[in-house]
Amino acid sequence: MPERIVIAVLFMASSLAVLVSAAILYTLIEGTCSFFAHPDVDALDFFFGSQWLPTSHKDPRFGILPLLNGTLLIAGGTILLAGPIGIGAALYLSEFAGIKVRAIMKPVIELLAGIPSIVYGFFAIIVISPILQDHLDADYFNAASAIVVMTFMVLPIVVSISDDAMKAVPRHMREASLAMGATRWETSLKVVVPAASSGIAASLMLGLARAIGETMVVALAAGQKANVGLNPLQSVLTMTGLIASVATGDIPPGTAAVEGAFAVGLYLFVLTFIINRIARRIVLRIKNGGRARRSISKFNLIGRLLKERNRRKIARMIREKERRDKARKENRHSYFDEERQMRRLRWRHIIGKLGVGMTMSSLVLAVIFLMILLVRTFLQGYSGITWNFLTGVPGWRPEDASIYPALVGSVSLMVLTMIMAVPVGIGTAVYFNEIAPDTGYTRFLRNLIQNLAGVPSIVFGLVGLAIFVRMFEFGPSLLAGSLTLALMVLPIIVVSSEEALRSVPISFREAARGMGATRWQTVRHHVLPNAVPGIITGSILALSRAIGETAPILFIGGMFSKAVPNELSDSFVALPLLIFNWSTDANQDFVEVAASTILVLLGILLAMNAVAIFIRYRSQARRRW
Amino acid sequence: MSHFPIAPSGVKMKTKGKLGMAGFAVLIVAVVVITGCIGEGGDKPTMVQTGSSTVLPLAIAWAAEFDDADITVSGGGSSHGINALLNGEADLGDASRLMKGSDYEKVGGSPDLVKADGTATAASPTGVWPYKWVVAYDVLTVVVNNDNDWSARLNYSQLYQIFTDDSPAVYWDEVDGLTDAPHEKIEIYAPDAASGTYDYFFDEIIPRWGKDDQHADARLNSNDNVYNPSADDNVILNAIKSNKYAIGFFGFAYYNENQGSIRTVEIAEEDEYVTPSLATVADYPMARPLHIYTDGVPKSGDIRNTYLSYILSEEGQSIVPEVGYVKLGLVDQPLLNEQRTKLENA
Repeated sequence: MPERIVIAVLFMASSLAVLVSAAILYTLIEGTCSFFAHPDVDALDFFFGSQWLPTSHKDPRFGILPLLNGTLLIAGGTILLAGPIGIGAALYLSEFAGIKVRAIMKPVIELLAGIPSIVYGFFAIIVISPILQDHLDADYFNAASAIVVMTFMVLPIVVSISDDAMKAVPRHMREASLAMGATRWETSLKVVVPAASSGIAASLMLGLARAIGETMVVALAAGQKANVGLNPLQSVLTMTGLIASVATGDIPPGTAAVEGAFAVGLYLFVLTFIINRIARRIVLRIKNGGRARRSISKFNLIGRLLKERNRRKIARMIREKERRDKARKENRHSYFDEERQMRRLRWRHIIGKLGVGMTMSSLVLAVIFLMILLVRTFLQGYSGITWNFLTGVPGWRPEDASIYPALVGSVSLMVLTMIMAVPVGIGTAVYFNEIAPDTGYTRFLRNLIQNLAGVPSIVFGLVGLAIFVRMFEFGPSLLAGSLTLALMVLPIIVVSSEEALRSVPISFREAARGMGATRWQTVRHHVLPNAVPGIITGSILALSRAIGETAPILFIGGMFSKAVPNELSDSFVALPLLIFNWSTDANQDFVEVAASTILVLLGILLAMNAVAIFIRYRSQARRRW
Repeated sequence: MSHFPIAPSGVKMKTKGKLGMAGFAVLIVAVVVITGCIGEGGDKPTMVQTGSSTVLPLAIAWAAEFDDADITVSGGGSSHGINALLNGEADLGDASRLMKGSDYEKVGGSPDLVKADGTATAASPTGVWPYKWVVAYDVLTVVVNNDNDWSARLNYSQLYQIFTDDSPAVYWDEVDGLTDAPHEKIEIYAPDAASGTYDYFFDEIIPRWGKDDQHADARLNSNDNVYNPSADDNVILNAIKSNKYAIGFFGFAYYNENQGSIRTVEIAEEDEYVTPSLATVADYPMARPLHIYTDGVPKSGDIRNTYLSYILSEEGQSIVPEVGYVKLGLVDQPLLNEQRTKLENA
C-alpha cells in the first residue's frame, strides 16, 4: 500500500509540468488573443511578414520572420560553438584529466553557470564587440558577440552533464576496448562517446534550450533592431529580446506592440516544443544507428539520410573486408608487413595525441574565458567589499551601498527554491525513469519538461507575476519569488537527474528486483544512492542559475530596501536585481559596486560548489562500475 | 561485470550517501538559522514602490533617506508600476508617462474613466483610484561624440531631419545648416521604442505624434539601419563615446554622471538655443514630468502621506539634482505648492 502512495506522489510531481505549462499558456494566450483582435494586425502578416515595426504609428508591421531569424541565428550559432567545445572539454575531463585537474576544473566550469547573464551581456558589449568591430568590421550591436559570450554561458550545462554521462559509462567497456588494442583516444571516441550519447544529447538539448531562452545577453549585445539575414556581424532582434524590452518598457498596455510580445512568446513556446520533438527524434535515430522502428516515410528526410548513411557504411565495410581477404590471399606476407603495421600504429597514436590535445584546448579555452571574466570583475570589485558593504544599512550613494538585505534575500530565495524544486524535480525524474510506463502521456510530459527549459526567463517572470503574485495573491513576496524560480529551474533538475538515473547500470535493478525488492525499494536503496553525483550536479547547476537570474524575479523582487525579509510574505531584494540595477545606473561608480556584488555572488556559488564537490567526490570514489 | 560485489557495495553507498545528504541538509539549516537570527524584526511600517526605471534612482534615494518606513523599491517599467498599483500590490506606482485608459482596461475598467491628463474620474474595478503626483522633472538630452565639433546646436527641424524617416539625412553635411559637417554617415544610438523617453522625444519633434494623421515616423521604423536602439542607456552612452559620427539622446542623469566623455547639444524649438542643464530647465524645450501614483490622496497620518510630504519637502527635493533630475519647484512652483497643500489638508 505505501508503495502505491509513493508512486502516486511521484506521478503527481511529474504531472506538475502540465500545470506549469498550462500557466504559461494561459498567460501568453490571453495577450495573444487580444493581439490578433487588434485592427492593425493581420494574422498572415504575422506568420509570413518580413518586417517587425510594432511601434510605427503610420504603418505598423508585425511580421515575425526577422525575430525568428534572430533567435535561430543566435541559438544555432551558440550551439554550433558550444557543442564541440563542450563535448571536447567533457571528454578531456572524463577520460584524460588526472583526478586533481578534474577536481579543480569541474567546479570552475560550473562557476560559469552562476555568473549573472547581465555580466555576460556587458562583457560582450565592452570586450568582444570592439574586437569584432576592429577586425571584421562588425556593427556596434552584433549577433556574433552575443554568440561568443553565450557559448561560454551554455558551456557549463554541456560540459557538466556530458561529463557525468561519460563518467558513468561502465569501466569494463573501456577495458574491453583497450584490451582489443584500441588507443585511449579511439576508446573514448568510439566507445565512451557513443555509450554516453543519450547524456550528451540531453546536455546539448538543455544548452540549446538555454540559448533560445536567454534574454539579457541578446538584449544588450545583439541590439534591438530586427534585421533579416544570416550575417552575424549585424544586429538582430531575438524573440526574447523583444519580450524583455516590451515587458519592462513604458508602452501602455492594450497596444498591439505590447500584446505582440505575448504572441511572440506563444510562438516561441510552440517553436521550442517543435525543436525539442525534432531533436528527440534525431537523438533516437542516432542512438539506434539509423534504424527506425517503423518503416521510414518518403517525407522523412532525416530518417532517410541516416538510413542512406548507414547503408553506405555497411557497403564500405563489406568492400574493405573483401579487399583485405583478397590481399591476404594474394600476398599474405605484405599485408602483415610489420613495418606497415608499425607505421599505422604510430599514426594512430599521433592522431590520439592530437585528439587529446584538442579536447584539452577546448577546456583551456573555457578556463581562459572564465579567467578574463573573473579577473576583470575582481579588479573592479574587490576593493568595494568592506564590512559595511556586507552588513550595513544601505544608502543610495555608491559609497553607502550595502548588499546586506539582498544577501539575506538571495540566500533565503535559494534555500526556498531548493526546498521546492529539488524534491519535485528528483521525484519527477524517478517517476519517468524508473516507474512510468512508456505511454503517450509520459512521452508528452517529458516533452513538456524539456520544453520548459527553453522558456525565456522573462516569460517565467510574467507567469510568476500573473499566477503567484496575482492569482494566488501572494503579492510581491519571498514566497512568490521562490516559487517562480522553482518553476524555472525544475526542468534542469529533472533532465539532469533523469540522466543520472539512466547511468546506473540496469543490472543493479535486476539484481535488486531478483532478490525480491519492490520497485520503490529498488529505486530507494539501489538506484538513487548511485545517482547522487549526477543529481547533485544538476541541482547545483539549477540553483546557480536560480541565484544568478534577474528576469524571473524582475516584477517580484525589489532593487532597494533597508529591511530584511522575515517571513514568506515579506517583500525582498535579491543580489542579481541589485547587479542589474547598478550596472544600468548612470553613475559609473555603481558599476564597481555591481562588480563587488558579483564577487559576493560568486563566493556563495563557490561555497555551494564546495559542498557538491565533497558529496560527489565521496560517492564517486566508491563507485565500482 | 561481476554481480556479487555490487549488492553489498550498493548497501554501503546507501548509508554513506545518506550521511552526505544529511551533512548537506545540516549546512542548509545552519545557513537559514544564521541568516534568520541576524535579521532583526522590523517594527516600522513597510511600503512597496515599483514602476518606471527612469524614476527608480530617485525613488531609491528617497527611500534610503526616509527613516519612518521600510520601503522596497523596484523597477519594471511605467506600465508595470501603474498596473501593480491598480492591482493593490504596490503602495506607490512610479511612471514616467501619464496613466492611460488602457491601464484601466487591463484591470477590467472602462478606458473612458481616465482623462487625458492622466487622472481618473472614478475608481477602477479593483477599488483603487489612482491619484497623480508630479515629483520631479527629467531633462531629455541630445548627445554627440566628444570629437563632434559641427553640431553643437540643433533645432527641432534639424532633429527631425536626423531622427525621422521623412526624407532623412544620410550624411552629416546633408542636414540643413550643417555645412561645415563632414561627409560621413550619421549613426544613431538611442532608446528603443518601448521606452518612455523615445515616446517623449518623438512627441516633441514630430507633429501630431501618435495621432492618426501623424506627419512622420521615427527613423527606427525605416529600413536604413541608421537608428540603433537599445534598452540600456549605459550601452547607448558607450556607443556614442566610441563613435565619432554618432548621435543619440537619453535622460540628463546619464550625461551628468559622465561629463567629459560625451557632449550635449544645445536645443531650440526654433532659434532660441538652450544648453540642457538642471538650471536652464525653465527655458529648455525638452523636459518631462515624472510621476508617482497612489490610491487616492493618502490621509494625514497615513505613512504614504508622510512619505509624499517628505518627497515634496525642501529636504526631499534637495536630493533630486544630485540624482540628475530637476526639482519640481524650478519648473512648476504652483503645482508643488498645490500638492503640498493637498497633502496637509488630507
